[in-house]
Amino acid sequence: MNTVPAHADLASLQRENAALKARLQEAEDTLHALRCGEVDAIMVGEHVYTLEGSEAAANRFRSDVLAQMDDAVLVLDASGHVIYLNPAAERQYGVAPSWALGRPRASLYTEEWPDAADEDAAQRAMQDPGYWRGRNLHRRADGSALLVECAHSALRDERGAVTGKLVVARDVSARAAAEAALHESRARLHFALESARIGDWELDLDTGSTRRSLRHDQCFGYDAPVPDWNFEVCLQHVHVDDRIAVHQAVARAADGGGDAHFECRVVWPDATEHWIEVHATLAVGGTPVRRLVGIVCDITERKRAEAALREADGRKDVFLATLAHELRNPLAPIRNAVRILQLTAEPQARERALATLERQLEHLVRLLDDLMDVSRISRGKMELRRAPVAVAAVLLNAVDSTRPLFEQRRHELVLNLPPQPVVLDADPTRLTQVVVNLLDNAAKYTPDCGLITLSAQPQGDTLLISVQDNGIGIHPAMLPRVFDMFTQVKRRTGAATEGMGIGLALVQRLVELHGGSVRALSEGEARGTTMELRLPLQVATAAAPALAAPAAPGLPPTSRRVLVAEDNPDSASSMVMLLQLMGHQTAVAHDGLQAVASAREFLPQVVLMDIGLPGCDGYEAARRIRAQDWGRDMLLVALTGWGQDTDRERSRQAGINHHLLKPVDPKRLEVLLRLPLPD
Amino acid sequence: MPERAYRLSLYVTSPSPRSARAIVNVRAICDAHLPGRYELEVIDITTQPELARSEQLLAAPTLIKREPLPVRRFVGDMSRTDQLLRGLDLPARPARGRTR
Repeated sequence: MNTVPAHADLASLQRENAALKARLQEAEDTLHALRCGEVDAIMVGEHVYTLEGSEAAANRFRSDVLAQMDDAVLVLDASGHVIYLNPAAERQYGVAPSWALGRPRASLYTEEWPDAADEDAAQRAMQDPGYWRGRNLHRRADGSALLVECAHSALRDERGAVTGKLVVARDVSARAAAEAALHESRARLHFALESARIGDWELDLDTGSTRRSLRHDQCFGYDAPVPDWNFEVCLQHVHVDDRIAVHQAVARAADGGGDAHFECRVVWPDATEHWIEVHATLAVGGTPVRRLVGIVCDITERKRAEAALREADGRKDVFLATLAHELRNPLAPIRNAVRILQLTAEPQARERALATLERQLEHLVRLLDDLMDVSRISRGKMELRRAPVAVAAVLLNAVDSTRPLFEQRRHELVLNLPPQPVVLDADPTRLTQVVVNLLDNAAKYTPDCGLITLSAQPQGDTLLISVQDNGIGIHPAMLPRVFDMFTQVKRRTGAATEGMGIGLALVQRLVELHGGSVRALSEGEARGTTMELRLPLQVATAAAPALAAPAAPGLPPTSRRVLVAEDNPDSASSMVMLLQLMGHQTAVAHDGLQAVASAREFLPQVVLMDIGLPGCDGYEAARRIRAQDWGRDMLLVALTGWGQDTDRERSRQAGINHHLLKPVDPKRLEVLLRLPLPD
Repeated sequence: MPERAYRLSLYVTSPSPRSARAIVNVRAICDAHLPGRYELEVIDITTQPELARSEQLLAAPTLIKREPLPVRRFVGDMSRTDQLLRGLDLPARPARGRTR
């Protein structure tokens, strides 16, 4: 400043002086700072000149940052050549800068996209807004693939033109693997829960809100997830009587009193009652922090099964009690009859006693046989020996078996056979057993001089066998229960109440094993009964019937030479006496070896062989007899308490012709002995 | 008399070493002596060189006190605290009370 103000005063001069001093100081300080090198850069004209040392330091700083990063950083020029890569990029792509710099990016890695659409989206993003972040796959030069999370940024010059691209690529393979493992783990859990039909649930203890799987809601009877559900709503579904216990159990678990585990009843929207099993535990970690997690499972089926088991157990006990009672029934008169025989010699009394003995004995034997059969059927061990069977032969055989009873009761039997031969695929023995049973019942439950009709009629692909009587009939209330075991039926005639045994139960099971059905019809008491048996017909040409025709009545009595092999003296002597009364000639052996010797000497036509013989058993004795010329044509009959199919098979293989169960029915024996002998 | 607010501009060439020191030092002085009554802007002139010209800077780092007047300039890494405080018209002792 050159001009001096005209009217300067001291104060303004002083102020000006101070300002000048400050500016001077500033200038001196600045020069001082420059001289001392306390600056990084100086500005000359329009340019900023960064001092070399400072520049180098700044570069080193940037360098250090890039070198320390774990993420790979690459800079590409506008044509995609690599012009910079950091140490992490060298490691990630397995290349040295001396090799990689200047090469196209594709020599380090190629990009693979999950979807063509993703690649398009990334390219569009690079145009606008000029950066893209996302995941894709980098396939390296050695063929291995890397899952990466990338950030691509367009590099631009001062005019905004694209000069290249900055790529920051982070390896997320480990994270992806962990995510995949988690996903798989979740899928397995879901599968396990679904397969076991277990629902899972979560209760936020602070807000009361819940998260549940669909299966959980299904356990409460809903097909679709229920929109609003909390613990109160849940309790409303629990059976009134179980609510308090459930509330207490859950509250205790929520308070840290340990895991809850209980069963309770729930009422479904359709008003049905179901059982559920619940487990609950306080969650550890995660969010929300205070929560109860658990599972629920519908156990209604299990509860029903348990109840059914208990009921079956109860029924078994009732069955055993009833069976014991049934068994006692014949024993009482037997005991009495024996006593009578001991006490009196009066012929008529003795005869009555003997008749009673026989009758009750037969009843007992029948009962036991039926029981064994039913048991075998229940255990699935009953084997039917099916063969083409002529229905006519079966019916005739059954009639023959029941003839004595019919004659005794003076019933008339009408037999209606189909005009043409009908063949069934059935077990002949069992089928006969069934028809005999029905005829027996008809005879027993019809007053004397009744009329019983046995008919067989093919109806399409079914054979209908019916037994109709004009007897005491069945009360309508009883009809559904006639096939149950031990149904009690009162006989109108005032005779003692007699159980029907288990005959009809067995009939039903045997018929069902054959694929058929049996039905009882009656118009009421004293109106008679009709039993209808339906069996599937086999469409077959007439085949050889598997049953021998019954012995024609009226054959002259024959006399056979019969060897009795039995070690029990009473059994042996009673059998011998019986045979002699029938008019046969007898010999006795008491063990297996003696049986063979006696057979050689006596040369019987028939051998009645007990199986349980001392020495060698009946099977062995039979084999030895069969091995001899003189023994080849003998009729060998096994008498044994063992009637299983395996026992019969052993008899057959030993060469035995017939296998009879003890106690043997004398009438059956009689028929057997009258049959023409094998030649 | 109410305390006046300070408005400061610091021009640097980040991440150069002296510039880095200047940033830290200025921040420290402001927090210690002007707690709650300063406004500091840090400008990197390597990214905005045109400002170097419009402000007529000589060198970096340069601190410009815009308010309160008069405008004052300081060049260097700002490590001479006493000199700087005097230049900013601030007493040598730090202000009473907590700085944050």
